[in-house]
Amino acid sequence: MSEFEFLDRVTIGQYVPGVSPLHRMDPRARLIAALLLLTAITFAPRPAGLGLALLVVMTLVTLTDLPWRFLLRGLLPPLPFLLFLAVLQVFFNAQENQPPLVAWWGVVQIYASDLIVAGMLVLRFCVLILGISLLSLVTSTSEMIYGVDALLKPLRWLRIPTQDLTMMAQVTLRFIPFMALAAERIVKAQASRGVDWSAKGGNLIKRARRILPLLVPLFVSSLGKAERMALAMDARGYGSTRRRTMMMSTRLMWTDTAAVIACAGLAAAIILL
Amino acid sequence: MHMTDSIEIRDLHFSYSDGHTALRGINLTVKPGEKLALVGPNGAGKSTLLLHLNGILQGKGVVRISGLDVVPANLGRVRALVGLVFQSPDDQLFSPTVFDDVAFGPIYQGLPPEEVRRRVDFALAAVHMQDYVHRVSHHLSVGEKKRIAIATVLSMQPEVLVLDEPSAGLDPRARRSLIHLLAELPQTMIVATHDLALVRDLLPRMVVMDHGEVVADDATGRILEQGDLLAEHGLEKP
Ligand SMILES: Nc1ncnc2c1ncn2[C@@H]1O[C@H](COP(=O)(O)OP(=O)(O)OP(=O)(O)O)[C@@H](O)[C@H]1O
Ligand SMILES: [Mg+2]
Repeated sequence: MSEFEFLDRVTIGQYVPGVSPLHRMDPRARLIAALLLLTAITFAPRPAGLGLALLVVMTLVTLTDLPWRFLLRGLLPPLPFLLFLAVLQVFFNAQENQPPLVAWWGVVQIYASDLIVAGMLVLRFCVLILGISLLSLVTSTSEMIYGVDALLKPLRWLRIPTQDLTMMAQVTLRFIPFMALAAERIVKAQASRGVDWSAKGGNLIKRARRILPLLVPLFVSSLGKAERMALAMDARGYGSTRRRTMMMSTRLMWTDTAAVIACAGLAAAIILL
Repeated sequence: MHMTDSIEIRDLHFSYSDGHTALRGINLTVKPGEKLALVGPNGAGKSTLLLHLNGILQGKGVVRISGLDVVPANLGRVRALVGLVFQSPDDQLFSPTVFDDVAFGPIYQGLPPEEVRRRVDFALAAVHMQDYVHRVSHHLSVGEKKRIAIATVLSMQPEVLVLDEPSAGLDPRARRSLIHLLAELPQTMIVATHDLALVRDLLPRMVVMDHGEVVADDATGRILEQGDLLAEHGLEKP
């Protein structure tokens, strides 16, 4: 893998067709189950719950036959930020310090509780990223639209334009790989004009200084892309009628219901453990 | 019998919001089934003109598609009539898979699912890309993207096909098969291009633009003979 291949490292927003039980689950059930689990992971207060969550996600990944390497790669880009946050957590967490004291230099004291808080932060984000990646890897856009649309249907009653909300969800997902591609292009363009991207090291400020020239054009090109994407949708008649064809209709099977109930149970356990 | 013109443009002026005037009084009539080339140097205003045909840009003057005024109230119908393929296929394709992209237009026309599938099959077959239906759009090569981009509007079965530089970036074989493909299509066609060999082989009528004006409008053969006219507007005989 070259240093420029950003897209390969982005697992959120990509779809891999397949026939696993996860692929075959009703899209609506799949979304509800995912929402339950992801919410539970976000709010799990104790390490045991997070451990269970990790186990659940790993089991699900095994069910899909997706290559682990691919999924784990998705964890790499945010890892530096996570570690940075974790270090901040060690020193500045709001938890009450609990012995044993693990390390100390003068006034700086690190308690075991600090390490646990930091560890949980890293674990929580890793499990979340794995979970979201997994959902998007097994869910095609049409399924996503179908599912989101079905779940939002009650809102239509309140005259909320659910169709546009669904489209927003779709576009957002589509934009993640696009940003990776755009970043890749910009980095290549800059590298070809002599910016040294592979240079490791340097302190944080130096690194930030290297990222800035990437962020500004990335921002500009994303705005431009968003505008042209809107044009392309307009040009093909988006919004010219309120009728939108649903390309799929599915029936909930008892297995779908069972799976959602199981996930609800697991979500409760993740929170309560 | 009088047939309604496919495209009718009367005294069209347009300036971009930064004050740059891109179109200065364009007049153009295109009959149903006519295939027309729009040529001229970079910055002549070709893309700008094409964007007026389905109301993405709206200038001063009259634009009519099959007798329908391109005004906000008609945009929905106009966009169903006009299939516009952008200069860059990356702008045209925005869905994760080829199927989603090609189905987008028909889905938002509210056609029944069976018909949507039929349209997708038809459009992909027309560009000889049936095998790509489940591929991921952004992993395709430029030439493949171009074909899919054309399929995304063919699936809407438009009456007017508007193509901005369809042959740019294609290898000779892909270019050849694009020409065959376009020649097979029955639609009224307006093609902005720098590829005069394509114009000669495919498009019987030629409109030359420069500085936002139409400077010549005649049979392709006759214009290609006028070396000084071509030279004056930065064109070269193929
Ligand atoms: N969004 C914009 N804002 C301001 N000016 C623009 C914009 N888009 C195009 N222009 C200007 O309008 C003029 C016509 O541009 P247009 O893209 O229509 O040319 P073109 O004939 O398609 O050229 P090319 O052969 O390079 O595609 C150019 O001078 C261009 O700089
Ligand atoms: Mg152009």
